[in-house]
Amino acid sequence: MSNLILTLLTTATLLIPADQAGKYFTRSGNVSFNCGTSLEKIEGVNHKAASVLDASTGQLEFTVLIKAFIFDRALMEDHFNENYMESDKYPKAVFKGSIQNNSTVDYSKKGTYHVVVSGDLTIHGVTKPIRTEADLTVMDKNIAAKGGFNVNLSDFNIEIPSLVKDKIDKEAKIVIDILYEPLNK
Amino acid sequence: MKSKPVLIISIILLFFTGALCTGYYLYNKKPADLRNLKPDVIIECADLLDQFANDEQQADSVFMNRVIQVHGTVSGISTDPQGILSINLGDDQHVMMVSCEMTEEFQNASSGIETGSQVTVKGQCCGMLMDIILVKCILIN
Repeated sequence: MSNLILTLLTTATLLIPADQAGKYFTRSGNVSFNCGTSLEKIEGVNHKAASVLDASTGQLEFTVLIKAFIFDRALMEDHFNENYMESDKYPKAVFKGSIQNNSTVDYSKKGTYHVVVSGDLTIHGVTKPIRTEADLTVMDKNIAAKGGFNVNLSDFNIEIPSLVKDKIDKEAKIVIDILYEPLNK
Repeated sequence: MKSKPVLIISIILLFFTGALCTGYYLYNKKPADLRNLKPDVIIECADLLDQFANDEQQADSVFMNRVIQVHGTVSGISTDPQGILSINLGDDQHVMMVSCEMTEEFQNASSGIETGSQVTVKGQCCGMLMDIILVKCILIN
């Protein structure tokens, strides 16, 4: 797993008082992707993303197991894991970054805040910097985060065979939907 | 004499029709329903957690992609923002849990399960993040 996530969770639980934690996490974040074209619907969804958000610094880490993506068709799932993502070799996708305008988010006041997130995204063994935008909604106890970005598959050495290049978009559209809970309840 | 070419053409047509039908079936085939699959591994939750905690790489080689039937104590029920429900199995001895993402057919049946109850779940192991993750899960009892 991501050692950072486990270390952050363990350390925060042991050292940080409950009322000053400022840390949020989820074990059930939702990540979906779409790289289909008009010729083919290609969508996968993952309901088990893990993420930690440090509200005091804006630091953010997000990890998914590639094999936890679910597809409508068995052949698509097999090809996704074996041919494109090579998930036996690269079992996880990881994002490590931060909210660039974290100071504009008042975590003590309910409301929706538009944020800019940047950091390093690692997929298929390749790490690239990305920058995207998201909406953080501060609620009574939890924080909802929603955002999306596009990933150019070739940037991460994910090859599309010429035979199917009309069926698979060279850019995958990623959508993130997370409900963070306080780390110390 | 005329019947021989007709026979050959018929066999060829039959072959291609069969191939097309097989291809269509395989192309549209849904992912495996675990109700129809025997488990590769039957294990207690605590044992599964110990194996991953002690050596994740070794545990991946044993459990990854396998159909796991796990018995344990329900430590909670969680849902993702889309409402997809998971049964979490765990105990006080372990920080991690076994998180079992239930199939659509078992979403309703799982929602009434009480914390502390004993359940057996069958699912496909994907590996470990904060917890050990099983997907496509069904309730055995």
